[in-house]
Amino acid sequence: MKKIAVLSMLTGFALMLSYVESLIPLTPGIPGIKLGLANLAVVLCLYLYDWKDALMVNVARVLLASFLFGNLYVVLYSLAGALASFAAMAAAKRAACFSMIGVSVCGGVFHNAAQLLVATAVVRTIQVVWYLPWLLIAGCVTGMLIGLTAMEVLKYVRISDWKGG
Amino acid sequence: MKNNMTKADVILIFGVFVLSVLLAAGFFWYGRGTASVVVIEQDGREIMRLPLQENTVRIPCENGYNIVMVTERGVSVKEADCPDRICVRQGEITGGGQSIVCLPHKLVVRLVSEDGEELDAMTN
Repeated sequence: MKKIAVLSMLTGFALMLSYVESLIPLTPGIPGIKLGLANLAVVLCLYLYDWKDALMVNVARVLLASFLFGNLYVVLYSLAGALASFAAMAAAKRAACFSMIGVSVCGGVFHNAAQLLVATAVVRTIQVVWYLPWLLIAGCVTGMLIGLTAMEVLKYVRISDWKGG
Repeated sequence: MKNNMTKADVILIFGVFVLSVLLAAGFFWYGRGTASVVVIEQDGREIMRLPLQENTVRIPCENGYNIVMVTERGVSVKEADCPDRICVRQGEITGGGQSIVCLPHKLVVRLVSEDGEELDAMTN
Protein backbone atom coordinates (compact mmCIF):
# COMPACT_ATOMS: atom_id res chain seq x y z
CA MET A 1 0.00 0.00 0.00
CA LYS A 2 1.23 3.49 -0.74
CA LYS A 3 2.59 5.28 2.27
CA ILE A 4 0.64 8.46 1.65
CA ALA A 5 -2.59 6.45 1.63
CA VAL A 6 -1.80 4.83 4.97
CA LEU A 7 -0.78 8.16 6.50
CA SER A 8 -4.06 9.73 5.37
CA MET A 9 -5.94 6.76 6.75
CA LEU A 10 -4.20 7.13 10.09
CA THR A 11 -5.07 10.85 10.14
CA GLY A 12 -8.68 9.94 9.45
CA PHE A 13 -8.52 7.33 12.18
CA ALA A 14 -7.20 9.96 14.62
CA LEU A 15 -10.03 12.32 13.68
CA MET A 16 -12.61 9.59 14.23
CA LEU A 17 -11.12 8.90 17.65
CA SER A 18 -11.22 12.63 18.47
CA TYR A 19 -14.88 12.67 17.52
CA VAL A 20 -15.66 9.59 19.62
CA GLU A 21 -13.82 11.21 22.51
CA SER A 22 -15.77 14.46 22.17
CA LEU A 23 -18.95 12.38 22.67
CA ILE A 24 -17.77 10.84 25.93
CA PRO A 25 -18.72 13.11 28.81
CA LEU A 26 -15.62 12.36 30.83
CA THR A 27 -15.52 15.33 33.14
CA PRO A 28 -13.72 14.84 36.42
CA GLY A 29 -13.66 18.60 36.92
CA ILE A 30 -9.97 18.96 36.35
CA PRO A 31 -9.12 20.90 33.22
CA GLY A 32 -7.16 19.00 30.61
CA ILE A 33 -7.97 15.46 31.64
CA LYS A 34 -9.08 13.39 28.69
CA LEU A 35 -8.43 9.98 27.27
CA GLY A 36 -6.26 11.12 24.40
CA LEU A 37 -7.60 8.37 22.14
CA ALA A 38 -6.31 10.12 19.03
CA ASN A 39 -2.80 9.56 20.28
CA LEU A 40 -3.32 5.89 19.41
CA ALA A 41 -3.03 6.77 15.72
CA VAL A 42 0.10 8.81 16.38
CA VAL A 43 1.77 6.02 18.35
CA LEU A 44 0.95 3.51 15.63
CA CYS A 45 2.35 5.84 13.00
CA LEU A 46 5.51 6.31 15.01
CA TYR A 47 6.08 2.56 14.98
CA LEU A 48 4.93 1.87 11.41
CA TYR A 49 6.89 4.70 9.81
CA ASP A 50 9.41 7.20 11.14
CA TRP A 51 9.05 10.26 13.30
CA LYS A 52 8.72 12.72 10.41
CA ASP A 53 5.64 10.95 9.08
CA ALA A 54 4.17 10.66 12.56
CA LEU A 55 4.75 14.39 13.12
CA MET A 56 2.83 15.21 9.95
CA VAL A 57 -0.10 13.04 11.00
CA ASN A 58 0.01 14.59 14.46
CA VAL A 59 -0.04 18.22 13.32
CA ALA A 60 -2.71 17.52 10.70
CA ARG A 61 -5.02 15.79 13.16
CA VAL A 62 -4.63 18.49 15.82
CA LEU A 63 -5.45 21.31 13.39
CA LEU A 64 -8.37 19.44 11.83
CA ALA A 65 -9.81 18.24 15.14
CA SER A 66 -9.53 21.69 16.72
CA PHE A 67 -11.46 23.30 13.89
CA LEU A 68 -14.02 20.49 13.67
CA PHE A 69 -14.80 19.77 17.30
CA GLY A 70 -13.27 22.62 19.25
CA ASN A 71 -12.88 26.31 18.81
CA LEU A 72 -10.08 28.69 17.95
CA TYR A 73 -8.75 29.18 21.42
CA VAL A 74 -8.20 25.43 21.76
CA VAL A 75 -5.76 25.26 18.82
CA LEU A 76 -2.76 26.71 20.60
CA TYR A 77 -3.53 24.71 23.70
CA SER A 78 -3.88 21.43 21.82
CA LEU A 79 -0.88 22.06 19.63
CA ALA A 80 1.38 22.71 22.62
CA GLY A 81 0.27 19.44 24.21
CA ALA A 82 0.57 17.47 21.00
CA LEU A 83 4.04 18.74 20.10
CA ALA A 84 5.49 18.26 23.60
CA SER A 85 3.94 14.82 23.74
CA PHE A 86 5.33 13.98 20.33
CA ALA A 87 8.87 15.12 21.14
CA ALA A 88 8.81 13.04 24.32
CA MET A 89 7.54 9.96 22.50
CA ALA A 90 10.06 10.23 19.68
CA ALA A 91 12.88 10.59 22.22
CA ALA A 92 11.57 7.69 24.34
CA LYS A 93 11.30 5.47 21.29
CA ARG A 94 14.85 6.32 20.26
CA ALA A 95 16.07 5.47 23.80
CA ALA A 96 15.04 1.89 22.90
CA CYS A 97 14.55 0.73 26.49
CA PHE A 98 10.81 1.36 26.56
CA SER A 99 8.00 -0.68 25.04
CA MET A 100 5.05 1.05 23.37
CA ILE A 101 3.56 1.42 26.85
CA GLY A 102 6.51 3.42 28.16
CA VAL A 103 6.62 5.55 25.01
CA SER A 104 2.92 6.29 25.26
CA VAL A 105 3.18 7.10 28.99
CA CYS A 106 5.89 9.66 28.18
CA GLY A 107 3.52 11.12 25.61
CA GLY A 108 0.62 11.38 28.05
CA VAL A 109 2.68 12.91 30.83
CA PHE A 110 4.36 15.50 28.62
CA HIS A 111 1.09 16.33 26.89
CA ASN A 112 -0.50 17.27 30.19
CA ALA A 113 2.56 19.08 31.54
CA ALA A 114 2.77 21.25 28.40
CA GLN A 115 -0.92 22.09 28.49
CA LEU A 116 -0.62 23.12 32.10
CA LEU A 117 2.29 25.37 31.17
CA VAL A 118 0.17 27.07 28.51
CA ALA A 119 -2.69 27.39 31.00
CA THR A 120 -0.34 29.04 33.50
CA ALA A 121 0.74 31.53 30.84
CA VAL A 122 -2.85 32.25 29.82
CA VAL A 123 -4.27 32.94 33.27
CA ARG A 124 -0.94 34.32 34.52
CA THR A 125 -1.37 32.64 37.87
CA ILE A 126 1.07 30.13 39.25
CA GLN A 127 -1.75 28.62 41.36
CA VAL A 128 -2.61 26.47 38.38
CA VAL A 129 0.24 24.11 39.29
CA TRP A 130 -2.12 22.76 41.92
CA TYR A 131 -3.47 20.52 39.14
CA LEU A 132 -0.05 19.12 38.22
CA PRO A 133 -0.09 15.93 40.34
CA TRP A 134 -3.53 14.93 39.06
CA LEU A 135 -2.58 15.68 35.48
CA LEU A 136 0.63 13.64 35.77
CA ILE A 137 -1.24 10.63 37.13
CA ALA A 138 -3.96 11.00 34.51
CA GLY A 139 -1.37 11.23 31.73
CA CYS A 140 0.33 8.13 33.07
CA VAL A 141 -2.86 6.06 33.25
CA THR A 142 -4.24 7.10 29.86
CA GLY A 143 -0.76 6.64 28.36
CA MET A 144 -0.67 3.07 29.66
CA LEU A 145 -4.08 2.30 28.16
CA ILE A 146 -3.18 3.80 24.78
CA GLY A 147 0.19 2.01 24.73
CA LEU A 148 -1.40 -1.32 25.59
CA THR A 149 -4.02 -0.87 22.87
CA ALA A 150 -1.41 0.14 20.29
CA MET A 151 0.63 -2.95 21.17
CA GLU A 152 -2.37 -5.23 20.67
CA VAL A 153 -3.28 -3.55 17.38
CA LEU A 154 0.21 -4.07 15.97
CA LYS A 155 0.03 -7.76 16.86
CA TYR A 156 -2.94 -8.25 14.57
CA VAL A 157 -2.03 -5.86 11.78
CA ARG A 158 0.26 -7.39 9.20
CA ILE A 159 2.93 -4.73 9.22
CA SER A 160 4.44 -5.95 5.94
CA ASP A 161 1.13 -5.10 4.23
CA TRP A 162 1.23 -1.58 5.59
CA LYS A 163 4.85 -0.91 4.90
CA GLY A 164 5.11 -2.23 1.37
CA GLY A 165 4.76 -0.04 -1.69
CA MET B 1 10.28 -4.04 18.79
CA LYS B 2 9.44 -4.99 22.33
CA ASN B 3 6.18 -6.84 22.77
CA ASN B 4 5.95 -6.69 26.52
CA MET B 5 6.36 -4.14 29.23
CA THR B 6 10.01 -3.53 29.95
CA LYS B 7 11.78 -2.78 33.20
CA ALA B 8 12.21 0.82 32.04
CA ASP B 9 8.42 1.09 31.58
CA VAL B 10 7.82 -0.01 35.15
CA ILE B 11 10.43 2.40 36.53
CA LEU B 12 8.95 5.25 34.50
CA ILE B 13 5.37 4.59 35.62
CA PHE B 14 6.40 4.12 39.23
CA GLY B 15 8.49 7.31 39.06
CA VAL B 16 5.59 9.39 37.75
CA PHE B 17 3.33 8.09 40.52
CA VAL B 18 5.88 8.82 43.26
CA LEU B 19 6.52 12.31 41.87
CA SER B 20 2.77 13.03 41.74
CA VAL B 21 2.22 11.88 45.31
CA LEU B 22 5.16 13.99 46.54
CA LEU B 23 3.89 17.05 44.66
CA ALA B 24 0.34 16.56 45.95
CA ALA B 25 1.65 16.17 49.50
CA GLY B 26 3.76 19.31 49.06
CA PHE B 27 0.86 21.40 47.78
CA PHE B 28 -1.40 20.06 50.51
CA TRP B 29 1.18 21.01 53.12
CA TYR B 30 1.65 24.45 51.59
CA GLY B 31 -2.09 25.17 51.52
CA ARG B 32 -2.83 23.72 54.94
CA GLY B 33 -4.81 25.70 57.47
CA THR B 34 -8.42 26.67 57.23
CA ALA B 35 -9.43 28.78 54.29
CA SER B 36 -10.88 32.13 55.24
CA VAL B 37 -10.72 34.41 52.23
CA VAL B 38 -11.82 34.02 48.62
CA VAL B 39 -9.51 35.71 46.14
CA ILE B 40 -10.74 36.33 42.60
CA GLU B 41 -8.18 37.05 39.90
CA GLN B 42 -8.75 38.00 36.31
CA ASP B 43 -6.01 38.10 33.70
CA GLY B 44 -3.39 37.72 36.44
CA ARG B 45 -4.65 40.62 38.57
CA GLU B 46 -6.56 40.38 41.81
CA ILE B 47 -9.93 42.02 41.32
CA MET B 48 -11.86 40.97 44.39
CA ARG B 49 -11.40 39.59 47.88
CA LEU B 50 -14.39 38.19 49.73
CA PRO B 51 -14.92 36.75 53.20
CA LEU B 52 -16.37 33.25 53.52
CA GLN B 53 -20.04 34.11 53.95
CA GLU B 54 -23.14 33.68 51.77
CA ASN B 55 -22.61 35.81 48.72
CA THR B 56 -23.04 35.61 44.95
CA VAL B 57 -21.12 37.81 42.56
CA ARG B 58 -21.20 38.11 38.81
CA ILE B 59 -17.80 38.54 37.20
CA PRO B 60 -18.06 39.95 33.69
CA CYS B 61 -15.20 39.70 31.22
CA GLU B 62 -14.48 40.50 27.55
CA ASN B 63 -16.24 37.43 26.21
CA GLY B 64 -18.76 36.46 28.85
CA TYR B 65 -19.31 36.06 32.55
CA ASN B 66 -18.90 33.74 35.53
CA ILE B 67 -21.17 33.67 38.55
CA VAL B 68 -19.23 32.89 41.70
CA MET B 69 -21.08 31.61 44.74
CA VAL B 70 -19.51 31.88 48.17
CA THR B 71 -20.83 29.99 51.20
CA GLU B 72 -19.51 29.57 54.73
CA ARG B 73 -17.87 26.31 53.65
CA GLY B 74 -16.17 27.32 50.44
CA VAL B 75 -16.64 28.70 46.96
CA SER B 76 -17.87 27.48 43.57
CA VAL B 77 -18.57 28.80 40.09
CA LYS B 78 -22.30 28.44 39.81
CA GLU B 79 -22.78 29.49 36.24
CA ALA B 80 -20.65 30.55 33.28
CA ASP B 81 -20.90 30.95 29.54
CA CYS B 82 -17.41 29.69 28.73
CA PRO B 83 -17.16 26.98 26.06
CA ASP B 84 -15.95 24.10 28.24
CA ARG B 85 -17.71 24.80 31.58
CA ILE B 86 -14.91 23.05 33.44
CA CYS B 87 -15.04 25.73 36.15
CA VAL B 88 -18.70 24.93 36.84
CA ARG B 89 -18.21 21.15 36.83
CA GLN B 90 -15.41 21.40 39.33
CA GLY B 91 -17.96 22.15 42.04
CA GLU B 92 -17.19 23.62 45.40
CA ILE B 93 -13.68 23.93 46.80
CA THR B 94 -13.27 24.14 50.53
CA GLY B 95 -9.58 23.79 51.40
CA GLY B 96 -6.96 26.49 51.69
CA GLY B 97 -4.71 26.72 48.63
CA GLN B 98 -7.26 25.15 46.27
CA SER B 99 -8.37 26.98 43.18
CA ILE B 100 -10.90 26.93 40.36
CA VAL B 101 -9.65 28.04 36.98
CA CYS B 102 -11.70 29.18 34.02
CA LEU B 103 -9.17 29.19 31.23
CA PRO B 104 -11.30 30.77 28.46
CA HIS B 105 -12.19 33.69 30.71
CA LYS B 106 -8.74 33.91 32.33
CA LEU B 107 -10.38 33.70 35.72
CA VAL B 108 -8.92 32.17 38.86
CA VAL B 109 -10.94 31.77 42.05
CA ARG B 110 -8.87 30.60 44.97
CA LEU B 111 -9.16 30.06 48.66
CA VAL B 112 -6.43 31.33 50.91
CA SER B 113 -5.90 30.95 54.59
CA GLU B 114 -4.61 33.79 56.71
CA ASP B 115 -1.41 31.76 57.29
CA GLY B 116 -0.93 31.30 53.55
CA GLU B 117 -1.21 35.02 52.96
CA GLU B 118 1.47 35.76 55.53
CA LEU B 119 3.74 33.30 53.79
CA ASP B 120 3.10 35.02 50.48
CA ALA B 121 3.80 38.41 51.99
CA MET B 122 7.11 37.17 53.32
CA THR B 123 8.26 35.64 50.07
CA ASN B 124 7.25 38.65 47.98
